Amino acid sequence: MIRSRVSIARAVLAALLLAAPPARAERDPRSDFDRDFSRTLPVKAGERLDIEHSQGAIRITTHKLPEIQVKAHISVSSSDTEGAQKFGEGIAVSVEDTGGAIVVRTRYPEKKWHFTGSGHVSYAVDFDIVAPETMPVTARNRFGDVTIDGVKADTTVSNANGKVAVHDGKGMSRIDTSFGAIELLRHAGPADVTGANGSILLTDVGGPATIRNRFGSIVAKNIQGATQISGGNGSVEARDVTGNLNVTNSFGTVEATGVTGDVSINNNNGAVTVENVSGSAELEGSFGKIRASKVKKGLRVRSQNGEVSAVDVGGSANLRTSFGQAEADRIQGDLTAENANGGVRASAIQGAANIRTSFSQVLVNGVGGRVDVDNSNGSIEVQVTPGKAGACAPVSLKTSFGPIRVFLPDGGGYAVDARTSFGKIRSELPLTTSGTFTTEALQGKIGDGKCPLTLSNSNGNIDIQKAK
Amino acid sequence: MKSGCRDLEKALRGDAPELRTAFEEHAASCPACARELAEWAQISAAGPALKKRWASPELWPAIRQQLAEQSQRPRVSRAGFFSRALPGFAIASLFVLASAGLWVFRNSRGREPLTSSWQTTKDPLLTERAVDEVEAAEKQYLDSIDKLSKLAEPRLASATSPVMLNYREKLALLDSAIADLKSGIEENRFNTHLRRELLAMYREKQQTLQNLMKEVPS
Repeated sequence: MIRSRVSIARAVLAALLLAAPPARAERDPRSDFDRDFSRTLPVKAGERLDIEHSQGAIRITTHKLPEIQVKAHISVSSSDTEGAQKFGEGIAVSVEDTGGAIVVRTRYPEKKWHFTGSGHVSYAVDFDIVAPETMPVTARNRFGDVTIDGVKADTTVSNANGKVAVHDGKGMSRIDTSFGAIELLRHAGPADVTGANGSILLTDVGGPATIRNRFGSIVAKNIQGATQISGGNGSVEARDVTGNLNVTNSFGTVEATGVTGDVSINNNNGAVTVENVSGSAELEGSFGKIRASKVKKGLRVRSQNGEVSAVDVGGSANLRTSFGQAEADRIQGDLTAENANGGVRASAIQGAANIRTSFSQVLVNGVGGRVDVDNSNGSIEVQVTPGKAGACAPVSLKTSFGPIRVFLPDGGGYAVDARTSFGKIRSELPLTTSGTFTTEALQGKIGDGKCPLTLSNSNGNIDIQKAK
Repeated sequence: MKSGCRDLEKALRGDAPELRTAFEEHAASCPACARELAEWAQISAAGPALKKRWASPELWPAIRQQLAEQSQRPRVSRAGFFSRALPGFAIASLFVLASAGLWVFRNSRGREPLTSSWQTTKDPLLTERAVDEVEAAEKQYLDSIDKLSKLAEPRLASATSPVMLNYREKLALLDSAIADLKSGIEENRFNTHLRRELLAMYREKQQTLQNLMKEVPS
């Protein structure tokens, strides 16, 4: 037994050693050519840096001196020693002072030879530039990243197939790139940023920001100015915006938190979440949930097929949807809710409540003002709160094919007008009838009969009960 | 047992064979579910081909050969020190191999199974070995993309919903980027940035196609 185990273990160990791939030596049958370029030029006041490049990185940092230092590292690799050197020496980096700008260009020689088999030539040029910190920068690049640190002047970057990172800058920052991420951090000035397929991150921007992206995510945090975001297929997150926020998006989620101005969001197929807005909010969507909370001024929500909810709204709330639940809680102004094929739940509404829906339930608990509910093919249940200082808050509830249940507070006075067909009318509260009095129609008074209570149903009961 | 369109996920999970049968019965009279079921069957069939393997074809034959050699050897009455210690060595070796594996995979976060030097190098030009590795990775992505594209083709061809049109637009955008990068690489094969970007585009295209196939047809 032991022998057998020893044999197996030995076999496993030997096999593992045999099966392990042999260490592979670097095999680079090629010649490398490296060359460094360096040039320093004085910079006159008002001059800008204009760099156009491809096939390599651009890194720009700053100093306090009135001069620009341009360094480039040229790397060439070829299967042909002579060819590598020839090609490397043919790469031209030019730095020219045109009066208004220091212009930096890279020019690659045409490849006039052809290799057979595995012959090749490959190359890259990486720039490290130190510029005066107040020098405006314009950079265009292809197939390389662009990094700019500490430029306290306008920056314009256009890139393709590479990342762009601009940090600790000042002035107007314009960035566009395709197929690369964009990062703008700690920027004291406005920003205009356009991406296509990469993520976009903006944090601590000291001015208004315009952000566009097609398929990547967008994150904007601590933006000190009005913010305009046009997204597409990615998520959008905006936090701590000083000013108005305007977002359009299609397929990703949209989250907005901490906006001092007004918020306007239109998201076609994704969820929308909004919280802590000092101004008003207008939110539109088609299929995603829309949630708004802590909106100090008015709220307007339009959805086609999604759930909508509003909590802690300082002004009035206007909600419209279909095929989704609509909920409103702690609304300081009036509530207007329009739904179709979806329920409505409303509570702690300080103003009036005007609710329309069909084929679903309406639940209302606590409305300071007038209550007006119109439902089709759904039940209605309303808890009526006493009006302020005996003020009258009329109640009108209408439905078909569902019961109406209304809970009235002690001491309230209502002029009751209740009608139904194929149902019964019941009242827990003492009621003085006047006019019609059948099981299907009732007119009378509760208390002083001061406030209209109109209950209309078809094919359902009507219950008048004491408040719980 | 009755089944409806909503039971697709449960039925595919395979926990309850009767649910699968019930769903298949339902699908017989529901064209949308039947199409869905057929597509999942296609994906299941394509799945094994997409699975990544680290083939060690020499391993089992070598074990078998070693065992055969062991059994052929004359038995000795007393095992030597090496034989007695061998199980310990084997266990220790396996432990070392497992630890090395964990170390290699430690930061992959599901993106790439291995961290190769070309992924982290700051050198603007790759070595030949690195390019070989990159091209092997590209080939795997291309194989996967090819299979997924065939599955996605009917959906994209008949795309009318906004979400499908959106996928089509994104795939067209990725294809244009891929074409751009490939033409750059033809001239500049060892350029690190170009190779990384191309691989990133392949990865994104694969992910996009996978997401597309997860979309429920409208």
